[in-house]
Amino acid sequence: MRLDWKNIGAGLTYGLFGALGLILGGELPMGDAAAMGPGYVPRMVSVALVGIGAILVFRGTLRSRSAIRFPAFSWGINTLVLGSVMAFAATLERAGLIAATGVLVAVSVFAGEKPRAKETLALIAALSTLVVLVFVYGLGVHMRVWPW
Amino acid sequence: METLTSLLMGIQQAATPTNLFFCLIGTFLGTLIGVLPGLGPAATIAMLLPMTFRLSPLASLIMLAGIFYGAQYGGSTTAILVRLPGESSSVVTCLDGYAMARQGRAGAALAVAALGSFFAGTVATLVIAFAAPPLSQLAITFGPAEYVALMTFGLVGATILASGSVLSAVGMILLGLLLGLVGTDLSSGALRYTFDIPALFDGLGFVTVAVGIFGLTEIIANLEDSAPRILITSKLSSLWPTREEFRRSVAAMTRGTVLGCLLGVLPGGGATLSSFASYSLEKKVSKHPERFGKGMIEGVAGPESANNAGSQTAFIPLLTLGIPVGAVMALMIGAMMIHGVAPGPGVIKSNPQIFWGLIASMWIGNAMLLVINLPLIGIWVKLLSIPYRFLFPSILLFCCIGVYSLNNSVLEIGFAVFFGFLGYIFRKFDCEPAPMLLGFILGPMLEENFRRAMLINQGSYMIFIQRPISLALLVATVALFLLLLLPGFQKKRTDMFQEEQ
Repeated sequence: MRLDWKNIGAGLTYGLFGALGLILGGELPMGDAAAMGPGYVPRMVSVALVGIGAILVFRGTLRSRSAIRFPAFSWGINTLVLGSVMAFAATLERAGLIAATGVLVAVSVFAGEKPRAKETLALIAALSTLVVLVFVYGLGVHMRVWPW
Repeated sequence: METLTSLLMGIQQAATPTNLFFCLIGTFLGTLIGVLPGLGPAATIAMLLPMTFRLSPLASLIMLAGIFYGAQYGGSTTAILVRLPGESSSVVTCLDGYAMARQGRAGAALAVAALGSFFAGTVATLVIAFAAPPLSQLAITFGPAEYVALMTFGLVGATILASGSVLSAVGMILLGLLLGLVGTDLSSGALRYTFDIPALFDGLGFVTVAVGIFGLTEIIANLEDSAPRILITSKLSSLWPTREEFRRSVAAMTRGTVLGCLLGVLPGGGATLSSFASYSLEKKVSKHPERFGKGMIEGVAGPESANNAGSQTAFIPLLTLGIPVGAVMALMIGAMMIHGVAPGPGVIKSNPQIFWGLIASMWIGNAMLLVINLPLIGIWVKLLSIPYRFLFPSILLFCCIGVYSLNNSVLEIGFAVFFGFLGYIFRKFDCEPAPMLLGFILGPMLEENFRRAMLINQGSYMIFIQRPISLALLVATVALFLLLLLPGFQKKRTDMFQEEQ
């Protein structure tokens, strides 16, 4: 059987969100068409999502025009980029903006070309100066700057 | 006459030193992100939105709008010089623009692109000024039923006119609608999908969602395919097109402008569709269609005028109906709401200085862009040599700070990471993110109007076909769907975007 994994993947994702919408919203009162409760529209949308998901899975399996492989995910890049952002979030309120900038840059550079230590340090110095001047002093965003 | 007086008032509003300054900042930033691949106007506007809290509403809207149309200018520069479209709306400019650059005519191509954009921007400003007031007049009579029909039309249009699979786009819209429902239900006070997280009681922030699926996802995708950039290093020859080239461009600019003004208003249309449509039109009317792709100046002049006209007339539905036609317009709605300006037909009456000031600023901004782009072209070209390994950590950092400053909460950064990964998954499955954001923004409005319309009519769906405007819009929606069933249309739709490959 030819499988179009892009259609199947999209269909499963929609279906998953639709199902979550139905399960997590199960407690919400429906009301009726004349006086809709908070659960009416969420259920409508969730059911439609499950429906679209089913059609896409159907198109990807039984009526697939061509075989399309499941796309390769770059787990390394995802982990490094999103991880560096999480690290920033974890550091910011504990140790301030400068430390958080350092952590974010130091982790994220590994997602690109082979990082060079000197370059990375220079980038951290330049960026932390820039953001402190622009955001904290220039735009007045309230943020902890220093670790102490 | 009244329009001209109002426009003059708008120019006065836009020409205060502060507003001029923010217009300059906006157009400058727009050019910058247009030149830099991997950072689009949607992500930039989302990032900067929280910082505009402190500005006056007009200054912040002027700046954010400047980023949007400025990006169209900047995008063409990289398309011509390095065959790398800074924005999706400049994809077709690569074809003939880059060919011209290789023949040593880069200067002429850049000049024609900039002049065409300026011409289109000027015309589009006038079109907005004259078309918006009557439309607002009409829209002010709209009740909830009309709004439901209008939003349905908008959402369906956005799926059919965009590129990619229609079914997928419908799924993205529905997902956006569902995500838009997160938070407190306004009429009953019930909490929906909040997981007892207080930060979600007000709903997901659209800035967070946009930074995630446009900012973070974009960076991951760029890092994934690291195609080398080849810069044309030959000296920029004369900036001026020859008399003959100029004559041919003027006709193409005019056609492109008209096309862009029309298509920009359509949901899902905007700048990208306009430029693609203009390219195929130029090819069709030309006596030498075979020469396209080999350095035809019409292939630069037409699409570049069209995308700029389209990016500006996209403001018409936003300013008159309060309905965004694309992701960036959805963010502009958010910007208006942050400043307490309720988007919709009332804006022109309740906030005339904002309405007319914004329109006038677009013309001023276009003039600024001409100066920013033509004489300073050398600086922008230099910027291209900044390696991506320096750029992406900087963009990540700005994304983080932007999201954090929304309400000084690191939790928002966590949500953005979630949407960054979700956006990546969707990208892998060829699902366009723009319809999702559209659904997300329209979701609460759609639900509210839908519930109100049904309440007024004791739960009868007939209301939507009893009111003439609502009926007309629904018929138009059905007609859009029927278009898809026409045998020729599917092929046309694919052909339109085929130049991309």
